[in-house]
Amino acid sequence: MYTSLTNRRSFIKKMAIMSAMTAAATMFPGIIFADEQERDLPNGGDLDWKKGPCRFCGVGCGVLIGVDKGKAVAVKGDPNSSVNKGLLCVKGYHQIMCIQAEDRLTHALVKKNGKYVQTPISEALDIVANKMKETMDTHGKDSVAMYTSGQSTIPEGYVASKLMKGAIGTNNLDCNARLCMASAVTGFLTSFGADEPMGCYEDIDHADYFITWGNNMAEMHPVLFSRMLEQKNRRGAKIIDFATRTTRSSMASNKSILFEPQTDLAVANAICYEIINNGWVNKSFVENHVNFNKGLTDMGYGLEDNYAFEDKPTPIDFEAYKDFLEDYTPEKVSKYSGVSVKDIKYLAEI
Amino acid sequence: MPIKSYLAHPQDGKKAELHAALTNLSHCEVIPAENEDLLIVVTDTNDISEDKNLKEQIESIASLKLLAMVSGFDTPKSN
Ligand code: SF4
Repeated sequence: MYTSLTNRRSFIKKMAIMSAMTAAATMFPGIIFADEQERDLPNGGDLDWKKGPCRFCGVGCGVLIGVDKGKAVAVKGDPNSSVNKGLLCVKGYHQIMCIQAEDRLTHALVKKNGKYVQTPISEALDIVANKMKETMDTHGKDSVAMYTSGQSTIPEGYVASKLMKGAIGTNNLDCNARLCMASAVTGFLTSFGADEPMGCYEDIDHADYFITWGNNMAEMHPVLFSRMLEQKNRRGAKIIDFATRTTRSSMASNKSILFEPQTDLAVANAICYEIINNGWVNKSFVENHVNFNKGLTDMGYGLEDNYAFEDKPTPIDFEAYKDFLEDYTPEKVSKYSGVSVKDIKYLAEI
Repeated sequence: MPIKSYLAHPQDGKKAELHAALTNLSHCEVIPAENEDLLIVVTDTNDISEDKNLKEQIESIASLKLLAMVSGFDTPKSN
């Protein structure tokens, strides 16, 4: 991934090819391109490779950053990382471009007379510290807060915690995870009864079927997707892409099933209808681990102005759930979901 | 000066045909996979309108099943 940068354009072109080859490899592990084309790609040269984590998403890939004269000029997946085993996704491959982006904030800016003025970092930090102190002196320690990022490293989080909780003595420390992970936790708790994703990377090595339900993993989580593909090729595990449009995930799957937007919950109900009516229910699992609640079946679109709805889930029993599913026979659902009766039955049989 | 890379999936059994059609286009480099039905396409055009035209030409090739962009860059011509 390195060149002298004398010809930035040709370097960028090679990076574009490299990204495409990587994306291809996540869909078709073992894919081969002509030797002479691969030979032409930028290599590591005599760069100093530094280890680090990719901080773009929660997959947590290990990266190696090629440094030349103190400047990050190349990036590649860390082959020793058990998470990504040398692979990176397109975001990971492009992170050095962010480091060198022209519009990147590289120095402190302080607003003076309505305008941002470049200020030495020590002076800017003094301003922050003085303002915090002033506010605390007047209004108490809970009048200040720190809002950080879910992408903070563990040492950064530790220092932030020490400062806010240990030194200042307030609990006002939060980050953007409140908006994303906290809602995921609520979803996990209400759906699965535990506040964690219902699986781990190792499960991928044992699963027989993967259904990418409304999730274009080949492009969004290509590193994890490559693990699924590995199982597909090695053990014959099957990937079924269930989505509203054809994507790279559809191309790489064993079967692609398309549905009309906003109808997949009905398809899920039709799958349950089939399972129950064919006597495939795991009774002891249902008795021990499943609660049935009935709520609104039509809560509106949700994105209109002043949207509001009220819903109180009412507990029902299995028989009532079975009756409720009469509205969701594969034949009825097929009409508006665009998923054939055959495909609904196929999904139920898995 | 856009540079873009795509993965091009051919219609069943049409890889060679797609390769030939893509090779005929100017500002377009094609790298076929040796063991899979997939081609990498890299476009290198002078401006946005040329880039748009080229993409339209590629998308109108009958042997193409799906064109998925992987990366896109805009870079000054001078360097
Ligand atoms: S999947 Fe991509 S964005 Fe996520 S950690 Fe890995 S390289 Fe980074």
